[in-house]
Amino acid sequence: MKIGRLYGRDGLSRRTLLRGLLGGAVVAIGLPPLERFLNANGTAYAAGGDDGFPRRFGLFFWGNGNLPVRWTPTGTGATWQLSDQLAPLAAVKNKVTVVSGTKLGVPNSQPHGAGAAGVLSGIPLVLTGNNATFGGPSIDQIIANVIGTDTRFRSLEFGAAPDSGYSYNGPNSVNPPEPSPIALFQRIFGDGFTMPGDKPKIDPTLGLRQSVLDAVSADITRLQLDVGAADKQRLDAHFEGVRELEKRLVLLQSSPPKLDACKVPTTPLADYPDIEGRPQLQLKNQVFSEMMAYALACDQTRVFSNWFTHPVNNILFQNATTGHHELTHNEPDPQPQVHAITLQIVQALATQIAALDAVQEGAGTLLDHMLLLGTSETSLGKTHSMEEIPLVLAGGAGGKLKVGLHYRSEGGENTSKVMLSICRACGADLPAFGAEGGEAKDGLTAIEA
Amino acid sequence: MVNFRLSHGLAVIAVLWANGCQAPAKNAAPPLVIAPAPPALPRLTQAQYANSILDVLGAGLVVPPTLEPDVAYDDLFSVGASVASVSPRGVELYEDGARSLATQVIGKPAVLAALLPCTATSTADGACLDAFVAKVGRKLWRRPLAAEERAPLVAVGVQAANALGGFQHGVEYALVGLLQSPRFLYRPEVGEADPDFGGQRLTSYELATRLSYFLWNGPPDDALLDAAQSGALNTDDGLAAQVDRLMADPKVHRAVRNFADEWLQLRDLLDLTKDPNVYDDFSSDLGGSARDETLSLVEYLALDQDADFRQLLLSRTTFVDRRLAAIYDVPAVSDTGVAQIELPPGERLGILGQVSFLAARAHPVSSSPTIRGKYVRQMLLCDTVPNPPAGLNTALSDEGTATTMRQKLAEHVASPSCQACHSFIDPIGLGFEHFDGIGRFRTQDNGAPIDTTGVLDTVPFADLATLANDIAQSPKYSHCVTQKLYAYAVGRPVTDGEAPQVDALSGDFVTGGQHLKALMRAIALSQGFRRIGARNDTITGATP
Repeated sequence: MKIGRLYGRDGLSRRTLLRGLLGGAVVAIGLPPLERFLNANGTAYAAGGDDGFPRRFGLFFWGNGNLPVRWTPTGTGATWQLSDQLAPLAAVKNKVTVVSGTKLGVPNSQPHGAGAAGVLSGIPLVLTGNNATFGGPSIDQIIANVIGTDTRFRSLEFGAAPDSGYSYNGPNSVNPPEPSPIALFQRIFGDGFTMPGDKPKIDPTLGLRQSVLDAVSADITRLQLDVGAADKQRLDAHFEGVRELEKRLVLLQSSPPKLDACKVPTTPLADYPDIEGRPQLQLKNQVFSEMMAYALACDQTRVFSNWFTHPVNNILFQNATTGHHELTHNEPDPQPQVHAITLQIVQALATQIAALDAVQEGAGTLLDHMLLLGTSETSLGKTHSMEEIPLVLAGGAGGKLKVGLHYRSEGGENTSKVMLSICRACGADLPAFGAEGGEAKDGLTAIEA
Repeated sequence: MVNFRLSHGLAVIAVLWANGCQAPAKNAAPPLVIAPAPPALPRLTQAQYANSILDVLGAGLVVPPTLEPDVAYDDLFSVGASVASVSPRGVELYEDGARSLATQVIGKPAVLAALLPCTATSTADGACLDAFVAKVGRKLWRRPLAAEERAPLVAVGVQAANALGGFQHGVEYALVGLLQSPRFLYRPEVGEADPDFGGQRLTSYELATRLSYFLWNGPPDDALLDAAQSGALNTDDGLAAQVDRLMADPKVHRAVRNFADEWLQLRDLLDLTKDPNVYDDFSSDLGGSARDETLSLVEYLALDQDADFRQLLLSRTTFVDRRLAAIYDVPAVSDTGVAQIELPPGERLGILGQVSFLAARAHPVSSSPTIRGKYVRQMLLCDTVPNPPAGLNTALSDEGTATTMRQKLAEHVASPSCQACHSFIDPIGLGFEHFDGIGRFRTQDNGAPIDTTGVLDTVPFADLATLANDIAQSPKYSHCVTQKLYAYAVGRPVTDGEAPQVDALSGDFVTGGQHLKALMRAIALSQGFRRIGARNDTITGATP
């Protein structure tokens, strides 16, 4: 795939290039003024969801897939039963839609990697020798580029065992996830956090920091004249990061409107060490989940990605006799240990959903005003299958997507159709999602409200 | 002098030869013709950032603990540094780091005094700030700053000194600016006309930078910058003198350790996990000890002993602490950290007998011949191991009578589609089966005797010791060391046009008895290290 062709066209500004390699087309997305989401009183959101609350998007990603035969619910439409692997979702079932039977349209060119690129970007993995990169942005960044531009953080990335994550801005540009709960807490709620409704602290250093960033930006622009095309793009990404930081400094000097649902969550522990070689995945995920609910409720960000575990991870889960990846390949059928691990993963997903549903916002909950997508890079890990991709959608994006459904795709529709529906429901009105075989120009109407 | 064959002394010979003079002695090499690679824009790796701060600003500073993660390309972070972008989070971390460092500098009078070339005569003494930016900027940006480059930073400094009421705050914010500049965070290569070979070469400052990050994993010092400024670095003799000076400096140790860390993937050890119910030798800091063992051996062989680098695979000298000694079943000689020992006669020797390989290239509860074999192919022999075809059922046999790992794998790869690749990697990995998933010696697997015999590229081996010898004697190994070190040195993907350069360096490495120091020197003096090709103004793929 020739990424360069898309980037190399004449007349595209730096920002346009960064913001939208979508479905093989370049999409320019404007930057709304900061005030756009505030109403005349400055007390609530005027735009975003129809309910008056901003739309948000969250991704819960895990590695190594599931066991499709024990995953797929019985019954379809509104009358369906959770499968045994999805049982931990029982408490939130009426706020969840499960889509089963879709498949990825991209080639399975590398175990795990191709699936991650296929499900999250819809674009074939770009392989150069043993080196791999996504060919375009992942779904969290596609959405963040539209709805993340006005908050303190365009997006937040974290995870209990995230490795490098797959939050791609574009080729070879990954947003690194934060593995430490206390570090993420300090980043969001430490220095630089102003409780919405409070007056910001007067800080003379903010203006000085802005002046420094102005000089840095000018320097990047000058350096771009002296480098080749690929490096110019890399500097574009750096420039965009500086611009984002500048915007954050401006926000620090504004008075954010009071938000009833906002509070500072409990400070995490300094460390969650492995116990007997096993990471404390559930506990870390629980702490992250609560923290993220309030990061959204306090409108510090509108997009997050939770990289719970990573593809090919060989983590020792609780009660497992060896690592997850090894078990998916080597455990004899029917793979009871892989099943038990999948249950632990779905439990973590349920924890995240419940944490979002626990925050009241107006007549509903935070979860109602957002869409949380749970997925993995494969279904059956043993064969690196790209069929039967696991998809759990929670929250319905403020009524844009149906909840409480099981949609079964009997014909094996392209997973990108679901991704396109999610993007559109979250406010990114794209003509298509993905490229080549992974491209979808139509959403999945069965799940759209 | 290895370098002159590769440098323009050779060009002179080639010209004479072409003019009809007597051909030189029959064993003289033909002229080396390479197509230099385009200029690159490596960003500082985390280690390079830290060393730059410590070398330039002061050894007592606390460097930022978190920065944009390094990304490997062709298995090396130093190469990934020219491919990966900086994320918004990375920019945020660079700002945090710059502010923290600048605060530290102005809070330590001795550090500040060492960096300030003047005494301020007023709160916002612009001339003194300009002198500070000129002096420290030259070290951080690794070249002199033009007046128009200094001006915006001085202006910020004046603004800060006034707003915060103190000259030291002017220094603080000027420094925050210097440290966030792409001129510090990246190593830009623009180049200049090359009078020796035609085409382009690195400017003398760019060459000084490439040289010091290769040989010191840190920034040029004043003497190297002075050599760049005077033009001395552009001459063969001037360059050789600087290379020899840098290689005689203790900072070469951290560079060699860093190369080994990247090449041998030792950072993986920081995440080493084993099931302690299976391996009671495991503790969470074992990985750190194992990393230190391997780095210490590399440093010892390459620098302290200037040994034949094949010893890396054959040495019985190693460096253990109490944890490693317990696994190797040898007495510990030190209560703290690793100390030098001689392993007793036996199968265990070299880095392939170390925990850093045997435990890191294994599963949490068992060995993995496939992972170990793939590592040897990829890292030590530079063979390309294809990805397994996707969509295959990769499960080991559910039933059957397999007891040992060898038997399980044999059933596993019975199908022709698996066999092609597994026969390429598994036989090597099975040679290590006398060592379990944490690196302890054993003679039985599941109660059955272990067969460690096999064949490496047509050369038979009996066990780890003979396999390690086969690898060490393989021409692929010496070529692979050369290729990895060359890629590390230039800090970007190696291009096809440079293949003759790598081949020539490898040839000299072997002829000279495989000394890593000689190879480092030869690389630093080589054409490929000094010359660059045309800038690439179009993008032909997702990566350069």
